[in-house]
Parts: sequence; C-alpha cells; structure tokens
Amino acid sequence: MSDPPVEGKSYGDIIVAAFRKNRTACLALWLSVGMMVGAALTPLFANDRPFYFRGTMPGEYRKSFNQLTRGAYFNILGLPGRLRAEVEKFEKRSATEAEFIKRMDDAEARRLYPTISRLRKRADEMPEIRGRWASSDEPLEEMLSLMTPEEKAAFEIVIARVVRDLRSTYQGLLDNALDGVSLKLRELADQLDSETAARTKALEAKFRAAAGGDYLTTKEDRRAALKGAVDEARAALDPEKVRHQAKLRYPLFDSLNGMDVLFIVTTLLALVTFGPLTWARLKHLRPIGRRWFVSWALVLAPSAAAAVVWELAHEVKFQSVSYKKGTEDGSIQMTSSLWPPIRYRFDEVPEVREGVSFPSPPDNTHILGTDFMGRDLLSRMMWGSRISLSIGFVSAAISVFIGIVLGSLAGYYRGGVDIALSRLIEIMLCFPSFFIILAVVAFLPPSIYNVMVVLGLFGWMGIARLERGEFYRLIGQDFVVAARALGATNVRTMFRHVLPNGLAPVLVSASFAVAGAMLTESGLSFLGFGVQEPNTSWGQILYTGRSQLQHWWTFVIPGAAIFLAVTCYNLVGDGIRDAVDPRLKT
Amino acid sequence: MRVYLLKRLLLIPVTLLGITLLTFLVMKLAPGDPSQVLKAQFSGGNMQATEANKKALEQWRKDRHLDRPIYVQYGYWLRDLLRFDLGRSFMPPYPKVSGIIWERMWITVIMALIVFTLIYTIAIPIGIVGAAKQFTLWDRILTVAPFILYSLPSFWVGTLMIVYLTGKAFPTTGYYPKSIAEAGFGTWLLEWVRHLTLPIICETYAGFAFLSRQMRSSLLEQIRQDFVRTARAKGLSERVVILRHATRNALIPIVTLFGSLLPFLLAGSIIIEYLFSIPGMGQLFFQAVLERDYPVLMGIETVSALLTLVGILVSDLLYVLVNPTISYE
Amino acid sequence: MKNLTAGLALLVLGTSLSPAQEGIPGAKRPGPVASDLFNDRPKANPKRGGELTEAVSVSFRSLDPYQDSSATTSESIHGYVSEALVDGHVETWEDVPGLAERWDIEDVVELKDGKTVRGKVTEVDGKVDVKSLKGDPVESLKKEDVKEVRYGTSFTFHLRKGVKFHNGQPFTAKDVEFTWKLYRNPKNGMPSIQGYLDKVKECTILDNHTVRLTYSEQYWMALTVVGGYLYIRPHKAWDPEGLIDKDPDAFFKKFQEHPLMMAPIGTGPYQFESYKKDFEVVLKRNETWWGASALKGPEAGQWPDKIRFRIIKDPVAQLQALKNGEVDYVTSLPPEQFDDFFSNADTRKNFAAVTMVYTSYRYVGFNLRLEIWKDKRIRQAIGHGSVDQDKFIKEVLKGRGERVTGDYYKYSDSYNGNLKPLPYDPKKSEELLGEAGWFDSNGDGIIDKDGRKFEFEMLVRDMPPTMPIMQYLLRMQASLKNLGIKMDIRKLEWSAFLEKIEKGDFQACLLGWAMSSPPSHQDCFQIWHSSQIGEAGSNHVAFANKEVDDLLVKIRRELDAKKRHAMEYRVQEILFEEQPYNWMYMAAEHRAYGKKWRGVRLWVPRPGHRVNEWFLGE
Repeated sequence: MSDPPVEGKSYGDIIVAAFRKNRTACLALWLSVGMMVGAALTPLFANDRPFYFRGTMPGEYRKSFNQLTRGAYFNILGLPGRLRAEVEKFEKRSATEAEFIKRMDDAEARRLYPTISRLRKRADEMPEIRGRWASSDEPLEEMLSLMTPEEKAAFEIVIARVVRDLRSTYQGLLDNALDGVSLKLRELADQLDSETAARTKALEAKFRAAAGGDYLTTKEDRRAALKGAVDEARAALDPEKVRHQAKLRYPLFDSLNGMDVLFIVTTLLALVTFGPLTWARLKHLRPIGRRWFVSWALVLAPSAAAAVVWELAHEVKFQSVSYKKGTEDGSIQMTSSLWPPIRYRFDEVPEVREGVSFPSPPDNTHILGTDFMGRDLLSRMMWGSRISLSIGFVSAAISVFIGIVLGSLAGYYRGGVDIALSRLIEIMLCFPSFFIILAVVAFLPPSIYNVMVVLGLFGWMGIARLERGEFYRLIGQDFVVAARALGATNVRTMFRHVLPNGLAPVLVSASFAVAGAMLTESGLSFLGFGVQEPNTSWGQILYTGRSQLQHWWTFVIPGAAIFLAVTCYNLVGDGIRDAVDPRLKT
Repeated sequence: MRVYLLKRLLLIPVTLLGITLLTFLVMKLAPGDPSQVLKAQFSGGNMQATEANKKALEQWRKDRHLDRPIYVQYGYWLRDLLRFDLGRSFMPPYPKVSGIIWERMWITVIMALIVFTLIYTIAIPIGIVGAAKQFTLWDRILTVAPFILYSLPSFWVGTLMIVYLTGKAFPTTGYYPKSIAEAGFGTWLLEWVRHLTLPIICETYAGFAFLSRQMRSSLLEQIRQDFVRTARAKGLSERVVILRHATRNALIPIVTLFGSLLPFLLAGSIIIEYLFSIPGMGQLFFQAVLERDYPVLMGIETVSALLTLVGILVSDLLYVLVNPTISYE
Repeated sequence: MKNLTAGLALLVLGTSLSPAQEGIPGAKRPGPVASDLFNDRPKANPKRGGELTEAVSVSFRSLDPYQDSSATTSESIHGYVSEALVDGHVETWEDVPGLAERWDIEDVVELKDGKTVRGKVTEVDGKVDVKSLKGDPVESLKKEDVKEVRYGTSFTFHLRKGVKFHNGQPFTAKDVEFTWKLYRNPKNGMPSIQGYLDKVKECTILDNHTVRLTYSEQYWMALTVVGGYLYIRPHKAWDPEGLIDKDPDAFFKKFQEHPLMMAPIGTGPYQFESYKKDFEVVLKRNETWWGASALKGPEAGQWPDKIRFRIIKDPVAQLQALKNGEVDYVTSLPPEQFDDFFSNADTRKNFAAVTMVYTSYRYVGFNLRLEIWKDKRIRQAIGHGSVDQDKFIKEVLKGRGERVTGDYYKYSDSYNGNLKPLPYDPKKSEELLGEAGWFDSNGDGIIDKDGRKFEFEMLVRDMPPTMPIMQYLLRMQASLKNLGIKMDIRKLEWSAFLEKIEKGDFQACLLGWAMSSPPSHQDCFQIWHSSQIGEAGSNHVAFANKEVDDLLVKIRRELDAKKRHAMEYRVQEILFEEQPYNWMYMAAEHRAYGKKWRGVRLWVPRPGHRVNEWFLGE
C-alpha cells in the first residue's frame, strides 16, 4: 500500500482513534453492526419451524399415500387413452389445421406454408368451407383432399413425424409418472421401518411391470394389473395400519438457500474472527497494515465456498408443510425438538379464527403485536430488516462505485473529460431525482433489484464531486509524480496510487449513502411502490400500517426502526467525517 | 462578473437540454406503453372495441407522433417546448399540460419559498450559537437535535401529525382557496395558516437540521482564521467579532446550498402533498405516475429542473453579492 | 376488543330498526324503503334550506357523464343535473316515466324485401296480423314474406310539456333526436355509450313532443336502454348552428372541448353552479324543475339549497372532514376506517353508521384458454380449497358480506337460490386434484402433471394490501401452498390490468362485476356468450358452452318474465357446475352521514340515494 497521508497512521487507525473519543458515534456503530448481524441471522431467530425434531409425520404420510393411490394411479391409467385419442386424431386425419400447425416445427412450417396458403386462397372461393378455413377449424382430411400428390406426400411425412413425437412424449410422461410412483413409495418407506422399505421395492417392481414395456400401445387391458398393484400398496401401506418410525429431521435448515447460508456463515465467522481482534486492537493501537484484508479474506472465502456447496447440493423445497399446524392437529408428532426463539415467520398467515381480530396489540405470544393479516410484527420487522438493509447497502455500493470511477476520471484527466463529467454531475444534481425514481420504479415490474439499481444510479453525484475534489488536491503531490516517473500507466496511477489516499470522502459518503438509500426506499414503499407482499421491508410495513393508525404498533414501530437505523448510519458517517477530515462537506 | 453571469445564463439551456433529454429517454425506455392508457379509454371498459375506436386510437397516436422513432419524438417535443407548449395530457379531456402545471405549481412554489425562509431563519442562528458555544452543553444539544430531526422520515412524522394533531385547529384537507373577497383578509390568512402549518413543519425540519450543521461547521472554520484573532486582539467584544466579522464569511458557502435545497424540497413535496391532500405539483406528479400520463410527467420534470436551475443561478448570484472578493474565471 | 363492540353495536342497531335479515342489513329487495333507517333521532318535517356536501374520492376530469366514464360523475352529479326519458323506480325497480309522460310500445315486422311494418302483431296460422294501437287493422302479411318479427321494439315517447332546461330553453323532441345522434356517432370519444346505443337504429320526430325510437332486435331490456341511457342535452346550447347534420366533422372536432363539458346543462332538480378544480363541484336548486309539481312523494323533494361534491381522495381525510363538519355524507368507506370511526360513542351519537348491500360481487376467474384450467375438477378443487369464505366473511369482513353463486343479483327473481356455495373442504380439493392426476412426482413440494408444475399467476388490480381482497388473496396463497400449488400474486395498475384481461393475457384473475341498476335488469349475455370472447366483449375467461349460448340468446328475446327466469336458473346451474369463476361474495358498502339530515332513504339500485330528498331536522 502507498504512504498514508497523515502522520504515519492509516485510515483505519485514525477512524478507530476518533471513535474511541466520540461516544455517540461508537454507540451508533455498535447499533448498526448489531442491526446487520440481526438481519443476517434472522432465519435462525425467527422461523416457524424447528431446527430439528425427532418424530413422525403421519399427515405427510397420508398425503403421499393419497397421492400415490389416487394421483399416480389416475395419471398412469389415463395415459394410454389420451395417447390413443391424440394419435387417432392425426391418423384418421380429423385433427384440425390449428392443432396440426401447433405441432409443426419452423422448418416444416416453412416447407408446408406455400401449400397451406394456396389452399386457403382456394377455400376463399368456396363459400361452404370458407368459414371453417378462416378460423383454421377445417380437418386435415379436407385439406389433404384438395392437395396434389406431391404436397400430400410432404404432409404425410410431417404427420408421421408428429405421431412419432406424440408417442415418445407420452412415453416420457409415462416414465415420469412411474418415477413419481417410485418417489412416493420411497417417501412412504422413509417414514416406516426397514422391513416396509423392502416391501416397497417389491411394490415398485409391480407397478413397473404393470405399466412397463408396451403399456401405451398394447391392446391388452393392463388396468387390472395396475389396480392390483394399487390395491396391494393400499393394503401394505395403509396409513391407519402402519407403524411410523421416529426419524431425525431438520426443517429449518432445509428451508435455507445459498444466500441465507452465505450471510449466516459470514456473520458467524466475522463475529468469531473480529470479536477477539477488535477487543485486542482497542487495547493497543497498532498499525493495521494488511491485517484487515487478510481477516476479511479469512471470513469471506470459506462462507462463499460453503454457500456455493450448499446451493449445489441442497434444493430448497416449496414449503408446503406447516410444522406448527402439524403439531396442533396431530399430523406431525414430535418427541423432541428445538425451536427458534421467535416461532413466527414473516409470511406465515394464521387461520381466521372466531372472535380474534387483526391487527392485535402486543401481548405474551406476539411481543410487538401482529399486523393486519395476523402475522407477527417482530418477525416481520426482522425479516424486513434484511431487505431494508440490503437495499441500503447494495444501492450505496452501486452509487459509491459509480461515484469513485467518474470522480476519479474527472479529477485525473481534467480538461475536456472534466468539463463533460462536471456537466453530467450538474445535470443529475439538478434532477429532482425522486420524481424519476418514483416513475421508474412504478413502471417497472415490482422487484427489489430494480429498486436497488435505480437508487444506486441516482445517488452517485455527491461522491463523484468529492472524489473529483480529492483528485484535484492530490494530483500535484510528489508521490504521484514519482509513480508516473516510474512508468505507471494512467489507470494504475489512478487506482493504485492516488485513490487509496483520496478515499476519505468515500468512507464518509458511503455511510450517508446507506442511510439515504434506506430512507428513500421506505419512502417509495410507503407510497406503494417498491417492495411488494409477501416480501417485506420496513417501509412496506409502514405502508400497510398507514391504514391502521388506530393500531399504533403497526405504524409507530417500523417508523421508529427506520429512524433509528438512519440515525445510526448518519452518526457513523459523521464520526468518520470528523475523524478523517472535519473540513469535508458534501 | 458580468462575463461570469453571462456564461452561467448560457449554460442553463445546455443543462436544461441535457436534463430534458435524460428525462425523455428514461420515460420512453421505461416499460409500460403509454398507449395502454388510451386503449383502456378507447375500448370503454367492457364495451365494444369497434373498428371506429381502433381507428380513433391510431389517429390519436399519429397526432402525438407516437409512431415515429425516439429522436424524432424528442425533436417534436423540444420544438414545442420552445413555444412553451408541453403537449397535452393523455387523460380526457386532454387539457394542455402547461395549463395543468401552471394551476398547480403555485401552491408548491409558495410553500417552498415559505419553507426556504423558515429554514434559513432558523438554521443560521442555531448554527451560530452552536459554533460560538462549542464544546458546551448547548452545542451538544444543538448538534444532536438537528441530527435526530434530519433522520426522522418525513412521511412517518407527517402521518403521526395527521393522527394526533389534526382536528378543529388544523384541518386535514388541502389548502382553502377561498378568495379574499369572499371571506375577508383576516379569515383568508387564518385559513392559509391553519391548512399549511403542519405540512410546512414537515418540510422544514429536515432542511433546517441539515443547514444548521453546515452553518456551524462553516462558522467554526472561520473562527479559526487569523482575522478573528486579530479582531479579538483589537479588543472587540466576542459578540461583535462573531456576528459582524466571522459570520459574514461563514455565510458564503451556506448561500451556495440554496440551489441544492430546491430539488430536495420538490422531491419531498410529493410525499407531503399526498399525505395532506394538497393539490400541488407533487400530488399531480404522483397522480400522473399512477395513470401513466407521460406528457404530464415530462412537463413536471422539465419545470422542476428549470426551477432548480433558476435556484442555482440565484444562489450563484447571491454568492457573488456576498463575497465581492471572488472573481470568476 | 374495541372492534368487537362496534360490530355488536351495528348488529343491534340493524336488528332493532328492521326485521331480522341474514347477512347485510338494510333494504335488499324491491319494496318500500323506510326512511331514516340508520338514524334514531325523532322525525321532523321537511323544509327547504341548508347545503349538503358529499365527499367524492375521484377528481373529475370532465363533468360530462359519458366523457368521464368514472361512476362518480355519472352517478353523483348527473343524477341531479341530467335526466332521461325513462327513470327507474327506486322501490319497485320498474321503468317509470321520466321526461316522457307515457309511451306506446309496438312491434316491428321486417319483410324479406327489406320493408318494415309497425304495429301490434299477432301471429295466426301462417299469417302475421298487424294492428294499430287502437286495434284497427293495418296490414295482414303472409308468413313466407316475413323475415323477422320483433316484439316490443318500437317505442313512441310522449314527452312532458313545459319542461325547461337549466338555461331556459324548452325541452322538445329535437333535443332527444340531437342527443341520440350525438351518442351514436363514433367520433364522439365516448365509446361506452356508443356501444349501448348502437342498436337504437332509428329516431323519428313525430311532433314537437312526440318522438319514436326503435331498437333493432327483440330484447326484453330494450325500453331501459332506449329510454334510460340517453341523458338529454339541449341541442340549441350544444349545437346552435346544426353542425351535427351539416358538417359533423367540424362539430365533433370542437365537441370534445366544448365548454359545456365542464358546465353541463340538463333538466334535473339541481343545476350546475360552479366547479373549482380539484376542490368541489357545486349544484344549486333548479327552481323551475318540472318534478316539483309533476311527481309525488319524496322523489319530488328539493330540500337542500345547494349540493356540493367535495373532492377528498383519502378515506381517512374524508372521515376527518365529516367529523369537522366540512362534509355531510361519505360513501364507500373501507371497513376498518368505518369501524374505527364509529368505535367512539360520541361519533355514534352524531353520525349515522350505514351498512348496506352493494350490488357487486367478486370472483376468481380462470383463463380457460390454458391447458391447466381445462379440467373442471381443478377449478372446483380451487373453489373448495382456497379460503374458508364463511369464516372470512364473518371475521375479516365482520359479517358484512354474503356469498353468491351466480351473476344475477341475489335478491332478484333471476337468482337461482337452489345452488349452494362451495364449502371449504381442503380434503375434497386434494381428492379432486388427485383424481385429475396431479401429484408431486419429483419431490419438490409442488404438485405436477405431465411434466408441468402447478404454478400460476393471479392477476389483480393494484391496491393496498390491507384491503379485504388482498387479504383474501394472501390467505388463498397460503392455503394453496398447503395443497402444493404455487400461486404468485401480480398487481397491476388499473389500465394495464384491464388491457391484460381484455387481451386474455392472464392465467387467473380476481375481479368483480357490478350489477346493472336496477339489479333486476341484468343481462349476462356479454359475460358468458361465446361470441363475446376477445376484446369485443366481456367473456374474458373464454367460456364456451353450446347450451348456455342457446339459452342466453333465448333469454334476451323472451319478453315473459317467468319463462325468462326459468332459463336464467338453468344457465346458472350449468355455470356453477363448470366453475369458470369461483364465485366469492358481495360485500357491503359502508357510508356515514350527519344525523341532522333526515328523510334519508337508502336503497339497492345505484347510487342508492337521492340527496335532494334529504332535509335538515331541528
């Protein structure tokens, strides 16, 4: 790294020193970090399913059983009939032109199009068939009767191809259905003892025997065989009669996806690594040097690896099981379990019950009360913080990145580049940007990524201006001249030598940018744009709370949270600014 | 100085062109077809979308050049702009955009001016006191309090105000356009005050928080300068030193902030006007977004940009006035 | 707890002042409408005076009933300013004289050679006898020469004499003809009314106060369309030079921006006084209104001196304004706002809490063009498994809603009350889905069939999530999740939403239909006939059933009410079995007004009130 600008200390040291003196900024920093940690670890704190439980799931068993004996059965049973009907349509040439066209591919369409258009023209002159042809409702038979032998031959080829494809498609469907049967049998066996597991293998074989081979095309009626297999399954796996075996399951972990894992692991590792280090550093002020970089690498690399592995190895299922409801109505029996402290999830919609009206005020079961749908507010706030904070950080990152790049370019190259970029900055500053942000977010399909990008694209101006100022200040200095003399290219000089010394405004503005982005996002959500149900952000909770003002908790709490978060980030930014350069003003 | 002024005046159209081009591109490239709006009108809800309607829609599109490429559309729009014609709204009865904006902008502009005045009147003394009494308890309070105000979301505060503070004293709806003739000057003034107090408070507090901090740090910087030490050595009282000498210089950078406060106020006006049902430009914009009324959106953007540019020019002028030592290259 | 008490209070109020009724209180069927049903103050005598201010939430783009197609303009302002030849009686729901004193209905015979004969027709053994109204024979035709006999399609209106427009000009047949020409012309920029009047092909002036209009097909509602939809305009004020005949293009060019669009002139009990943009519209009493002497009963009342429509967009602000006395009458309140407002004893003392039937119902529509919805068992499964509607109505809507099973108004003679709404039965849904072959074959939690997962997108109009409809959808999403069905909710703003629906570019949608007014005059042809699929009609889900098609055509032509109702019952039976919609419920409408106003009658046909009947008590 290049020489630090002030008295031999690096940015990190200066900031830490200043924060030790400034108690408010320190407090704000702890709160901000606390919020980030809370947001990252939310899935572990507030979730409607246990970390693990040992027990049985008779409800799921029954469901799988029904799906096997009804769904799979009817599916497989119906396939030959459906195939026959479709194939017959083409073989007997009673399929309509529209149906035929749907099954053609582009090449065939091009080849047959001249014929079809010629026939249509002819049809126009024949009033008795014109109506049918106009809506492509005429049967293939009719078309073929008006064709020349060559054209007919071409059509026949395609018809044959279509029939072949139909057969193979249906074979594929049959294979899928049989795989489904196997899956269901395995699911059922999974919940029972090993003896039953062995029996299900035999059942699987029976199904495949009944529906295997030429099942689709044979004249023989395999229905009886299929029904036999189903009856046997019914007898062997009857939910009323079987004995379930308790197994260990991990529902909460099953519901995490790669991103969740990334954040959780990062946070935990960071706490472990930086916890002791921070404490140590505060006691003795040592130059940090490379340690920051190494520490972060130590934290991010393994978490990224873990996340990728998780993502590849684990598929997040569509969560169609409600564990809490299951324990209530007996479809899940748990002998031992571990639940998260807050047993609600942000999108968990409770059933409508007699005499209970939502939103309900804070009480023993819901610490912060519930919202208008009966969802726990504390849980929603925690899950909402993930989105609010991530929107804040990502948009700030985008703004900072654009600002640094453009500011550096303007300040380094000066001249024409500077004039053009300064004009651009001025134009963008003149823009009442909230207007444009609102319009764009309103017109785009609702998505948090859109919000992040739009906010980022309109927040870089301040940073660019400051960075440009820094570059103007630094360019004359010796070290720059030295670097150029040693042969460094422009880009290298800019980003490796000058920029690290001119990072002061970035550090300051980054924090303010996060606060500003959070505020803007909550403003957008408050107006109804931005984050949509059932996803949630603090601004979105505020939006729904607005029509329930008599239930103060739905409105006061999210607003207070936004206020607190924004204040903390502003205070942190202020603290950094006081540390790094009190003269710096936006 | 005159040269500088001239240069700035000439730059305004350039900047304005840049802004309008940017707005135009964003509007055109953003998803959502303006003709959707019209199709809904021309098919009349659940009634017949007859051939006649389709033709009418086509004609309508042609009249507004919606079938030409983007740069051609921009050209037409610019040409009309030079004639102060901002086009027509997409909503029946298709009034002129300039007309709609003209009606609505006054309340927004007047509120903005009031807010400006309040911000400057409150922030400057607070900043001065804070700087003068640095490191005392007063300073701490006057630093932290604006900070807290600055972080309060305006829509949250506004809604809480509506719930808890409105009633007979402060009504909830809009501003009351009763004419002086009808109700007498006293009542007229009272009505204005009643209706606009709460929204103006909402718009002001964040602004003066920001400005008072700037004022304080700017004044602190001046106090460290040599001339202050000289003045003190000359035996002048602390008050004179600070108020007469240091403040004058400290005001210089504050004045330049005038220009950048305006976009901030205009943006805030959307939320405030929506909350308090004030029929101003912000509310018009919000409505137009909901209805996809592109000409109105473009018009408001242009007008706001123009206002902002004027604001910047004014602040540059003030800068020159306040600081005669500066000369512009 | 607060809300529960308020709900109880409402129920008590409702039951003590009216005979116990299920579901939503208030008048539901045709019949006498009691006044001051929601007001417990002592009766008072009507007298003139006062200004009544009604809050409206949509600002007026234009004050013309057909240029601005929002219901607010046409129902609020024009209920008082403009009138039509035929009116709807608010108690019997029948057609009664408006600007027309009486009318003669005749039949039209169209011959194969193109000529038409008019009169009273009787068909007797291969002959078609046409007689005049008095009974004199006019012509006797052979059946082979006759192309079509259209019963009840010729209406000769005898207009009231001595009626003046608000600008003093007299009302004559020429005004009717002008209005007719105006509304039918495709250049008028008013597609809604154009569509309706397209079939009123003839308008002939017989003399100054007699005009004859003819409908081009046999239709039991022809009189309502012909007589009731034409808000008569003064031709001299709109077109003094007669341009509509001489140079229609020039006329229509100016028409859309005619100053009268913002200052309407009619013949009604109140005339337009002023409009302050985005603030309010003021109407003042028309001292020369014909109805003051010609009508009897409360309809003849013109008690308030002025009627104001104040634009306040936000319901919270509307209620505040009501409390402060800035407005007197607020309609269409969201239920939670309504409950909150009336949870205060003071408020209940001074303001009347109105809960009444709102004649529109909601439904979930399935786009039948898609494979996934083709099996009716799937649609029935979703109907059984989405939301426990009875509980929803009871707890979320606080009992202020009623389930429906068809498109006719529940309390009209056309509604088939034998059809029971689908019970909430997730087990049955599972069964049906299983029988249709849907099951989770790859263990990902979502049921599938033939390689396609059961995922669909529910399209709904953009609205705040606290609205009951959105709550319904969120619950539906959660319930379907338990069945292994993934439902995504997509909100679109109104015009984009409409476009997608009309193009058929959706998978499932949540919409509602508002009944016509009066609700007994409901024609479902547009919604279910297969010809109405596509942008031209309202059959958005692309339902096509031969039997229903035939019945709908027959229903339109059937002039005998009993026969018609039997066919309507059968149509509803078929539709309910097929479930192209999952019919949901019709919700109540909440209103509030200051109890100082008396003589308040509220009824079912929209808008449900005529504030000119209201007067200040004590």
